[in-house]
Amino acid sequence: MTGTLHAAGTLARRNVLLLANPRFLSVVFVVPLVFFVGFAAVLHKLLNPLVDFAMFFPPAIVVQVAMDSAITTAFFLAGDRRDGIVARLRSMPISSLAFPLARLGVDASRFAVSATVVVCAGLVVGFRFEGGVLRTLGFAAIAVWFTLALSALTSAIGLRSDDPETVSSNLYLPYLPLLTLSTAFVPISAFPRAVEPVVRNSPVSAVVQALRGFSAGDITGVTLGRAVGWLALLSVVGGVAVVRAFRRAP
Amino acid sequence: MTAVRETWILARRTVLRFGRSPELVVSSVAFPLLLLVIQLVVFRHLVEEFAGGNYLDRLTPAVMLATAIFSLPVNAVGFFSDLHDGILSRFRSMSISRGAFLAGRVLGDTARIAATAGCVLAVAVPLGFSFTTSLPSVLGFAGVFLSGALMFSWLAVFAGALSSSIEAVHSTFGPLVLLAYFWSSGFIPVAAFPGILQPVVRANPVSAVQSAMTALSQGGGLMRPVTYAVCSTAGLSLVFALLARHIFDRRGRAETP
Repeated sequence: MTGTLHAAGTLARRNVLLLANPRFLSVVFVVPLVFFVGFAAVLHKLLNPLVDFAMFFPPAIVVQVAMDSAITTAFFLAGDRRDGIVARLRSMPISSLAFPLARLGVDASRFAVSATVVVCAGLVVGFRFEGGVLRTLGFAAIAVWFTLALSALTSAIGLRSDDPETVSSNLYLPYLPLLTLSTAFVPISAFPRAVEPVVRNSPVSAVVQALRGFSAGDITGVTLGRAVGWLALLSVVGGVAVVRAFRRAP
Repeated sequence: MTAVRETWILARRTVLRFGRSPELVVSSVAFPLLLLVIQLVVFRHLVEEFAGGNYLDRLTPAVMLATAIFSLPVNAVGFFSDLHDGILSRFRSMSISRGAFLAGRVLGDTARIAATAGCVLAVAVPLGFSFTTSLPSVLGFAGVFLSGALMFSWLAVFAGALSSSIEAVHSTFGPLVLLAYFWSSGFIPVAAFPGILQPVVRANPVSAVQSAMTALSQGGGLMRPVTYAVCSTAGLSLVFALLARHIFDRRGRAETP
């Protein structure tokens, strides 16, 4: 186990060093703000009659950034496979967990920075954590768990490809309906009746509603249960998929 | 004459190369179709509640143009690869005109965008979009669209020539095209944007093209929207073309011993 962690630490250091350039700053700090400002401008007047916009909106961007981050994970892993890094590591006596762990750890940390930027932007326009320290931590835990579980799943997809551009552009196809056919950007009342069941039962809705519950301080057991259920399921599927993909990747 | 032939051959090359990547074909057709359906589902109620009218009248032209907007990074990366993978050096040794190299890329990309936008229109019609105007207006609809698509194709060539790496194309132009689409009247009416942003949304060429296309398909005053759309897209095409040409020539001089 210590061997795994040591190897994961070394690989994580490599992943961080690869990110240390000006473009990284743009992806981590600027892109989340572009999303925040871009969507807020479009949605603010349309949603104001329906919801308290300042409380409703920031969790949506947190969820979106988490999903973007998971796609980036697949992009990096496909690149590592293309460049022969995966083949090289598999020929070395290190645990098959170390490599995905290093990737997930670094990407989750990167997400945490971006999500903090988004929350700070939210605080400027009136977003507040109204439930005390414990619920604020709950907000953070759900957000990070979401990106970790999703990244595990996309890692498995990334490891099966050696074309980073194609894998990320293909992942945007499920990304778009998953994100938009949820209560992330628009409350359930604004959807046509026919798609309401889809929206109500979406995993993204479950996560974003839990984030809203934690920030508003009125989270219920049902809301939390839905989110935790989805996240547990996603984690198991993603975890199994990523380890298998790493063992198989040529 | 030869320049025209060279341009034609290179345009064909651009289209054929794209056609040989099935994954790229699928994602570049599926993405705008998904965008059309999803925006209709998510925003129709909100926008029609806010402004009345049929949301598809504004959305259909916008998503047609979105095929050009969101293919910009792909096209820019394609041109970037042409510049750096050695094919350009090969063409240089064959005395092909430089203009043909740029124009061939732009025409090929525009043709492909037009085909994808045709698919969008073919799906929008059964969803409830229709032309209520005469044939000349419908032709004008196509013409304004092509002018907008040409502008984004020239911008892609400029982006590919300007950038120092594929990642730089994505990180610089990715957010830019996203905002060009979001902050346009194709997404929601200008009045639904915050007051401070409304001048930006009005000036956005994407809004101009969408307003002109909506007017040309649904009727209404044509003079102002069509003039502004044609002038702004043609003007920007010229600017991007000259800039791309400038960078391209400078690069050529630097490489020639």
